[in-house]
Amino acid sequence: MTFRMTSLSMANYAAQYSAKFNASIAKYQMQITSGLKLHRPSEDPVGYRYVISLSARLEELGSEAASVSDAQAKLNFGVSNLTDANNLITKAKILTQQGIQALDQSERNGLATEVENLLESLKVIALAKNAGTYLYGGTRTDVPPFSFNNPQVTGGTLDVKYNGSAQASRAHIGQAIEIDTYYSGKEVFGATDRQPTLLIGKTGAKAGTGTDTLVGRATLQVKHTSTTYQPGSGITAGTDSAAKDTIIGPPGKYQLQIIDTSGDGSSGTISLNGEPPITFTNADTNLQITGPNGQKIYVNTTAITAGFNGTVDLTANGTLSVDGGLTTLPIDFSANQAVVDSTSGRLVHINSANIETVGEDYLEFPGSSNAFQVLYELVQDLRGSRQLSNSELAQSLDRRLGELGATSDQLLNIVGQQSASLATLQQLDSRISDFQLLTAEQLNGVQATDIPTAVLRMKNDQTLLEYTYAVTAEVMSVQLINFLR
Amino acid sequence: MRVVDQAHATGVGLDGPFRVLRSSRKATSTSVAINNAGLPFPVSKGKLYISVTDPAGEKRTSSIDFDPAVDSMQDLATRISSLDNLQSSVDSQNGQLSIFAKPGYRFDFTGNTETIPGLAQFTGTAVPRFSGNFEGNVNRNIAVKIVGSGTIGLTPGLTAQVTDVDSGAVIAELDIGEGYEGGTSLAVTEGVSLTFSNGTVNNDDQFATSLVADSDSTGILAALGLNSFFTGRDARDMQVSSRIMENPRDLASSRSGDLADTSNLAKLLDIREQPAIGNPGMTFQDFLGDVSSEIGFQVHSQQQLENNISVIYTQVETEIASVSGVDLNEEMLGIAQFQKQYEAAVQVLRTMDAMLTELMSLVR
Repeated sequence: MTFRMTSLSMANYAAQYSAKFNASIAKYQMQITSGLKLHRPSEDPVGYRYVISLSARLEELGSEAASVSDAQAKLNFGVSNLTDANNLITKAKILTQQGIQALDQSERNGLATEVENLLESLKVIALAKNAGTYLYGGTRTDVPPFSFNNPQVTGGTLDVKYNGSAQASRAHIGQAIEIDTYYSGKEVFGATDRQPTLLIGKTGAKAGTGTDTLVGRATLQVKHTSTTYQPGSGITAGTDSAAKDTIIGPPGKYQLQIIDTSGDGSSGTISLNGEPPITFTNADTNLQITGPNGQKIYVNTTAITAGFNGTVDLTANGTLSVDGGLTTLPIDFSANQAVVDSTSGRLVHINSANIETVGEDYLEFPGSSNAFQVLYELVQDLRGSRQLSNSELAQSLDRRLGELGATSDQLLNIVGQQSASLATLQQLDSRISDFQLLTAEQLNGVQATDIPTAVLRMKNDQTLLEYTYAVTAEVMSVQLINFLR
Repeated sequence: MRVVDQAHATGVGLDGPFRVLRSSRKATSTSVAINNAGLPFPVSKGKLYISVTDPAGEKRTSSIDFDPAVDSMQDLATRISSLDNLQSSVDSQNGQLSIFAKPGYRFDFTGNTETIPGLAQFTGTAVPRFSGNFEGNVNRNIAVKIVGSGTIGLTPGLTAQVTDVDSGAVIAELDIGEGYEGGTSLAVTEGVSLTFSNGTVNNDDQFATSLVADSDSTGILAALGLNSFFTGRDARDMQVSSRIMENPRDLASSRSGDLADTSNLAKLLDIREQPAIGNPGMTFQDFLGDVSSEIGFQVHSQQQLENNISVIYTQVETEIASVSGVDLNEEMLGIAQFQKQYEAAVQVLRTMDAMLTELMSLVR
């Protein structure tokens, strides 16, 4: 069969090649303008798989870099805050030293005012926010991590409630690395390490051997409730005995020496634990007798047994309280009495065996106060809120100095941890940047357009297209009709 | 879908544990064994841990044994209802399970360490409390036994002996006697701590708890769509849960509900590296690459085929045109030829006409 080339065939060929070269030119134009030579999996299935893998890795690295950056911002803010906090503590230490050397109370009052300002500044730091979230609440960043209230009982310490969580919030970087960002406020500002309880006072009470849970400081109130006497002598408690006796002691600790000089119980002498005797008559219903350490008892001598000449054991009962008298515990004169603060549920063990007089003793629980309480207690000491002697006050301020040092160490320890985390993050950031660069290079090798090559190929296709048009025009124009015209 | 839902189900959103939950995937029957109930994902025999938080914030964690070859959705509901402060019901019409906590209570499937364990065998006045998040990889059952009688923080030599129930090994000996400050945490194992309040304990007092790494070894949560990330049964109807779309706070990023607790988010992120899809198991990334590459190959070969067919089509079209097509030159040539023929014929006729005219004139 003879092959005939018709106008239609020629037009078809022209259209086909024109479309082909146009498509090719469009492809290279897209490659040049987008910088990418792979847009669809079908363009290079194997290459595209590699592109997906590398793109995903690049995304992951970008995400990790963002996490690193976010964690760095949080930690930098944290370090800055804690450095400020440590500066406050350092300033407080200097003020404490000045307090120890202060010559009078007015000077200490001025120092106390400065420490109060430091305490307020520390509260502001503890409630600091970063991007709307609290910095020291652990994972619970949407509520203020601390709330502060005045002491619930007289002689107590600042009431600080931690509202955050015990767990630190963590940044996840990649699959394996977790870095603490928001620390638990308890860990940052919390108590350092409980030391043996200290009891300052004159009642004869001592710290027990059990482990206490009360924090900061408290006042131990020793109060008298009743005095009873061994039967036989006829002596009884005076009318003011319950309210005014200052003696406390178990049976046998105190003895009255009674001598009925009249022989009929109407008068005689009476003395307490070997103190100089005083005279009594059968008209005394509320006779005050003083003991060796100034303890006082009130007795009724109206019914002294006629001719009594001897000693009488007395028992002076009392109570203990660490919550300002809200609850009391009878003294049992044992080595360990657990006295509970009803407002907090915390307790202190008291050795009550040698309590001999009523009064108020000061309890300190070294190492149990958080940073705020340490400053608060320092303010109280500087203001002289406890009736301490100069030497006791100096010793107390010295203990505050030690606690401030421990608080500072704790803050610096956290700063150290955060700085170490920042160093790790810095290294990580650097590694991620390297990986990003490397991955981007690999990705470019597969995906990026080689511009000169693409331009050359586009130019080539453009020439071929023009050639197609030219040839088609030329061939189509050479028609018989033209000859006939 | 199953893997993501399973990880999501064992976390909680920013609003914390749930008051009410309703399954999003429906069973064809609520009274037959779960294996035959037409659920989209496989369920295996195992334990499901449910934690219940009371109004004071104290958490108790209990477990339910479940065998999908035997137990139905109704059985599951009955067992959940047997737990304190929880109620579960089945909607047999729709094949859905609902769980409700009693007023003031909440529940979750995080398997978080319970705060106060069961104290049926504990006679002292001190109250033990667990805290922290278990960081182990496998579930463990531990028992705590008191050695010695006396007062917390006071009696010398008082200890709490912690034992791994399954292996019998002693994990920790905690000194709770003289020197221990009541209420302070004592490390037990892998992130979990124990505290004792002030009070007394007696020799042989004991209590136990479960430390949960996997709170649903059955896979029932994903199968039923309880606190799931997706709804739907497969790729045809899969969608992100409308509950999460409407309230992004329901995204289970944490195990506690705290704003900055990202523990469950890390679990969800880990799925990225798990061989969770395809056969053999591939990561999502590898699967995407594999599918893209395969489709790319198919498209590429189809394009080549299209090109080949296009060439053949043009060839055939050209051949058809060579037979039936019209060439202008040929047609012009034909027209010219017929025009010449016509002109010649006209000329013949004219000549004939002239001849006849001449002839007739001769005749006249």
